[in-house]
Amino acid sequence: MTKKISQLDDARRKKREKTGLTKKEVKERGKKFLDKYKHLDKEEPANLVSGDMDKIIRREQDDDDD
Amino acid sequence: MLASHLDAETRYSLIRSEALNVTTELLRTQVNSRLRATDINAMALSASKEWEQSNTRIKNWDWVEGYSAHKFRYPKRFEMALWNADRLIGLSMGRPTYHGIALRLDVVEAAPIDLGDRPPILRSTLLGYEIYGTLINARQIRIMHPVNQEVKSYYETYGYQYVEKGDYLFKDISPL
Repeated sequence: MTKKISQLDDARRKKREKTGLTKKEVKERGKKFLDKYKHLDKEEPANLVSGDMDKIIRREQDDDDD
Repeated sequence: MLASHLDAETRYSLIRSEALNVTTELLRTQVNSRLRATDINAMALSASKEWEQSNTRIKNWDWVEGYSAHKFRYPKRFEMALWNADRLIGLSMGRPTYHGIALRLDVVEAAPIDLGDRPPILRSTLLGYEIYGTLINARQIRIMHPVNQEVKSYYETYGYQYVEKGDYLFKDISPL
């Protein structure tokens, strides 16, 4: 059955309550993160790449996916 | 598509959207007013095609095909296209682990540098994953399959630790 927006809002609110953080606290955490690692920007490798796209396309699962 | 899959897609798309909005707000106010984070939309996939002209790209990934496979399979995924004004400078996608303990950053790629100067992307990208991870109550971020020693060492400067079995780096989500 299609859910109403109000039901989705409730679900989202419950999800956030599980973390115990308000939106303001999430933003504060984000600000701290950005400040803490600001100095690392200049050291970033020119070719920043990670992952295995082929595995995703072949729909393979990692063994240790807990 | 199963009803439960569709339900998860709907619920988590709202959380993704919230995470991307908060990320953009923080990037614009704290880093650079030209930066913004969006989902991987048609405009981002179209812009990624330009990366195929690069002579320095490490992986010749097809983001259209890869994103399509990832999106179809993982309704709880996180995805992020990073823009500097109207230029795509980074793409990434990930998902929670099976039990939701960790949020994986499955694939990340910065715009090839030979196609033009751009700002660094990792700090902005990890910000998005930290926020989404917080919202879904994950305790850890994992960066999967670093392509070489240089990027692996760079992730370690952010406090990530390498796990050889599984070929990934992990770090607990920052405490407040």
